[in-house]
Amino acid sequence: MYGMAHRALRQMMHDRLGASTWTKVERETGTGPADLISLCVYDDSKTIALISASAAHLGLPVEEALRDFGRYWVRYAELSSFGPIMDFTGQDLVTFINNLDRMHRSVVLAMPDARVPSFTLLDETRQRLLVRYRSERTGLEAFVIGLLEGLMDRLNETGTVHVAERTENAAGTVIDFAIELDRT
Amino acid sequence: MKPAVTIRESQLGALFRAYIKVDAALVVMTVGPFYLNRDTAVVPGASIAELFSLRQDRDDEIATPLETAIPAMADTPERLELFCKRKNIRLAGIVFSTDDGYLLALNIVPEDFIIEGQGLHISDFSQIDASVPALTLIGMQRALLAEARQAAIDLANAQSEALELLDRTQRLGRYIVHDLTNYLSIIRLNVANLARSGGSAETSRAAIEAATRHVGDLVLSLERLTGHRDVEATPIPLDQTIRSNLAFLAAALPSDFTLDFIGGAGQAAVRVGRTELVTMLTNVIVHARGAMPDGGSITISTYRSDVGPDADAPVSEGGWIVIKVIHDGPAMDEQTVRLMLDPQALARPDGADFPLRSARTWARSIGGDARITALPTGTDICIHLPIAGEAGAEEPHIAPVAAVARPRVVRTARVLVVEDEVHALDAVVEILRMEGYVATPALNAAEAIEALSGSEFDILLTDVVMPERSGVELAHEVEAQNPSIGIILMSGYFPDESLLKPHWHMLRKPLDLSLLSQTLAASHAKRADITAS
Ligand code: HEM
Repeated sequence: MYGMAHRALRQMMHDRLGASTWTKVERETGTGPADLISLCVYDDSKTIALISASAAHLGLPVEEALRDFGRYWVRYAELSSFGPIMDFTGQDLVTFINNLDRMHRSVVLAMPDARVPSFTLLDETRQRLLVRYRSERTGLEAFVIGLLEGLMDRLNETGTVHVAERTENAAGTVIDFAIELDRT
Repeated sequence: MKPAVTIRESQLGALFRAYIKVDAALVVMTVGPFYLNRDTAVVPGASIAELFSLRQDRDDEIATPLETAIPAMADTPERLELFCKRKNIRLAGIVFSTDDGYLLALNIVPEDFIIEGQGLHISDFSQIDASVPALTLIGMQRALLAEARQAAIDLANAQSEALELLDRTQRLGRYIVHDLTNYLSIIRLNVANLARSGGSAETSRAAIEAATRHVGDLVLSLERLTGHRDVEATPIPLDQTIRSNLAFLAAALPSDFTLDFIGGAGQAAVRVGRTELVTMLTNVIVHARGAMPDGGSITISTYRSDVGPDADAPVSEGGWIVIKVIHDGPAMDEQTVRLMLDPQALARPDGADFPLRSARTWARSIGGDARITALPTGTDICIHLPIAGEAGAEEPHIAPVAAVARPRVVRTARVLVVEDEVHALDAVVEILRMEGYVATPALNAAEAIEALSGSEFDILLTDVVMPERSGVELAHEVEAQNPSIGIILMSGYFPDESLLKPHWHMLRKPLDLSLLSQTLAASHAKRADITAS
């Protein structure tokens, strides 16, 4: 993944456990400043190693840490200099999800080696959104749940996210997420 | 005439997000999705002449009224650019005539290609509008620039932190050198004592052992300092620790001194390394000794206090523990006393006040402080440490145990000792002889080989890191010539295991004396077995 993910993770660990714990994560995974350049592409195994090591320090199973990281990414993107792009993508959940693919497609013009996912709104009722996630990667389900929860939080919604259907194979992943909103 | 293409309203909205259909009088009939929830007042029934003005190319140009401009532009390729009067929104497109008026096929023109503050969203632009990637890319570029700036700041901070760390390391390094020197002199003092038969051999032996253990722990502090080890100190009970090291502390003083301890801190524990604490107290006592040429009395007392060292001190939730060291002797003037703890004052590493500075640096590094006050006779040194909890069970007694059971040597074994550091070599040979071994010194591998050609040895005890030929190489060679010899390697670190034979013994430096004699005895016993069978 691009280094921006590593930078976000570092920030999350700084916020949660302080700089010295991140230093330990770096030491355990053989990570240095050269692995934290936003526009550099790193093998996914590097990202996974960093997340696993961070999870161990957080005292969380990897899946839980991924979900936390998903939630954190939304806040990080908003508070960091990516804020304007987040605002541009949408100020309500439906608009945001509908615009996400266009945003990612535009972003990757500057990052040609990115493998971005695709999000499609399959069905929308007042209390329930059905979102299809497609990705070349596998194993990011918990991360996406965290992202969707983070988005709800950012866009002043409350509710829960669960997997409605899942197909995962060597070609990648297709997961339908149901977002149940606490709307009346 | 039937139009060549029919465009549905939804398609129109997809292509021209901000289209407006007006009648011949320029009154709005239908609008594109851009105006939804946007408070632009662009709604059916409104007059566009009241909502928009035409863009002017030059300031001195008189704006053409929309009523004349729109019919004139209809069905021409000319670009229509409109400003919204209510909101800062710019629209551009072309004008078609329709059966009942005009179609203004408009899209949004982002201001200066900056996303911030315009309230625009991706879906305000048609699918084919290049504004979306343009705006996003510019947003990305700004984000990455901001990040690069932050990275530069981080780097500058890291650099100054590194410099600070270097500075601190150098200072602490000097203190540690000083502390080591102190322990060395304690060792020398007691070795001399041992040599003078008549002194208490067990007490001296115990003091030396304790000193070497503390030196070993100081090495640990160095390792921690240099990042070799990540050690977090667990709280230790202060009174018990001082009490159990009192004999050792007293060993730093000649016989015309008395050392008393009055412990009043109960089970209060402090988060410090045991050795750091003992080292600090040794320093203070050695300092006091220097100020008392004719001997005298030193009293260490401890008590709890709710009051910190001073107003600027960090808050300590658990309260404070105070260690007070009072000694008698000649009085000192205020200025001398003030300079003693001033870290800015020029410190000579061998100056009499040096130990006190190291005590203050140490106390501050764990959130406390040290103060010194001149008394009419002598001084009063006060060290505040934050309480880190209460100790539970009784602290195991770690004082130098006087009578350690030592394995006795069965038969006088002959040991060849190889060590390139001449003082260390002397010391080991000396110790071995005291233990009843016949010890032969060699300063390097070549000397060792030469010694081996002249006489027989039961055990080779060799340092690992030596110039020219290492102890490991030497051991292999010696064993090849003399398979029954016992091999013991000693080193500050553990060498590559693949180079070692499983039956060799390994001793870590600094040498633990009792472990050394145990290993020698074990190695010798095994060899005796082999030769017997
Ligand atoms: C300004 C904000 C954002 C930027 C700049 C951005 C950029 C990117 C980039 C460059 C990648 C590709 C990483 C790689 O392959 O190396 C990526 C992946 C991803 N993005 Fe975003 N993103 C943003 C916001 C979001 C949000 C809000 C979501 C929420 C749903 C999201 C969901 C994902 C997911 C799930 C992936 C993982 C790729 C996969 O599943 O294969 N992104 N993003």
